[in-house]
Amino acid sequence: MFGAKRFGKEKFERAGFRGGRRGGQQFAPMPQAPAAGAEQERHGPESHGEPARKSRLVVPGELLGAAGRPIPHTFTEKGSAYSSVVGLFDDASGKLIPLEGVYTPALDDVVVGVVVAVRFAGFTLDLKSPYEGFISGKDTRDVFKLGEVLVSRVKEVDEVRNVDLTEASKLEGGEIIEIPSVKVPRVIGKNSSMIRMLQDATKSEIVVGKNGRIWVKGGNSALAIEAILKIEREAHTQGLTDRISALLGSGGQSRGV
Amino acid sequence: MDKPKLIVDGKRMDGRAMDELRPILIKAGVLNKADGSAYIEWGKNKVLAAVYGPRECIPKHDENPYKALVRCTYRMSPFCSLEEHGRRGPSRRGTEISKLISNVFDTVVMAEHFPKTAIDIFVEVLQADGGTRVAGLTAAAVALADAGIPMKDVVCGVAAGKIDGEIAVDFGKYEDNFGESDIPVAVSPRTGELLLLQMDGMLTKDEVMRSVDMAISASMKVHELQVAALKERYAEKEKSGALGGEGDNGGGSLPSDAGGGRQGMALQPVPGDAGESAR
Repeated sequence: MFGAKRFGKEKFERAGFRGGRRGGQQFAPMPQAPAAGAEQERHGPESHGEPARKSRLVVPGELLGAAGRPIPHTFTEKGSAYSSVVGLFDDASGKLIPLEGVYTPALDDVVVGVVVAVRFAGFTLDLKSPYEGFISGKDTRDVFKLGEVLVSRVKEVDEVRNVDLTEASKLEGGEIIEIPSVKVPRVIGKNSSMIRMLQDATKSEIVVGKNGRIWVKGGNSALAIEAILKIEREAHTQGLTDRISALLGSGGQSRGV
Repeated sequence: MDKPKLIVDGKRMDGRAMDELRPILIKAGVLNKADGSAYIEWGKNKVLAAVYGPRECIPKHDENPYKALVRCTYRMSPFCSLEEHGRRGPSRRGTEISKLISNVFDTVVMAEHFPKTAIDIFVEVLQADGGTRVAGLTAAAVALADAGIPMKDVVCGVAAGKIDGEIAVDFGKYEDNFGESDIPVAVSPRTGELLLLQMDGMLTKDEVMRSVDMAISASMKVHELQVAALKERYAEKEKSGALGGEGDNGGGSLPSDAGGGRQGMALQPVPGDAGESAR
């Protein structure tokens, strides 16, 4: 789900994810490998990959075909399925990829949030979403301050979208870039291929929040950011991986910036 | 001003046929900071629509735990026409139109996906020449789609009515002011459902039915332009994206260019049969 999962435990320690104060063991700030694998299962590898060749641009209310199993971002009426958003619909796989939209927290999403309130019981996080997240004091031993940037996992979302977070850990230093959350799957790529390529080429630490906030630290972060913004701009086009690979190979245009 | 002749030799003041629309140009995604936006030029009307949200609902006591609140603010700018709208700020008429536009979108927006939030639609009339409520509504529908808000349809509207004893669609200012009757209609093109029906003046039952039918068939043409505007936005993005990719040694991919997709758009008339009525 997010880039840093590739890093081994030792890298986290080096990056300060596990403070010595905590002893490092009882608290797992990042989903470990099995959890990350499950994450990919849930979203399906194809939704992370290139839009298929045959996908067509659809607008709200456009007929997609006869209603079958429910597809996200569609609705059915009188036995027919219609798109409810502007998106790319692939007739073959029956998938609709929206091109715009806000982030809605979902269970097990890894998100990058900013502390907007410190309360008695915990911390409220802005998630670049209509809904704020809450980290209970019971779920963290750390004390966070207003304005700190955290990576965290969604523990629970109830029917009125109260969002509980867990496994929070502070992101220190680095840079944050924001992209629309609908474009996050392209940044990660099929089986994390894109983010892996970025990390290998730039040697940056990259944490991709499902909410469209991306934290980049170290390495050639200027190139990493350039590449991520390029992915954002060209998320709905084909052959993106090749172009990004070429960009990374050329070292980017922003050398020295 | 005295009443001008609205129909001369079977043609209207601006040379249109009775069922002919004014030239319409729609552009999606014109504002950088809005979640979704659209600009429409409908004859001499110029209207901007912006959508923000779903976002936190303020005031909190208005929020609904079951669905998003769809709110609209329709405003005429003080410079939008020579008369009548000389003051800015809310007016009786603006409040009415705001309410009816929000009611129209309440029926098509899938608000239950976003409990406790608000979706704000702003319709700013920059230049007015009759039919701004349907023009604003048409632009707002494109802006909502551009914002990625799930909807059951891209709705649109056209006014119809009676001028100098004849039923016609899409009234300009003089037809609106001096005609006998005016019926703004908003429809859901997918189902043909009426979402808005107002009437000024007097008509027989038969005339009402004919006006509404005419407005519905005219709004189908408007809907095609809305869809074209939305598709054009992404076609353009794709083109610029592909260019940026192939010319990797060239410019255009600097991080500072991130918003380029939105900025780099020139206004171009949307092709469509309505465009041919330009004189």
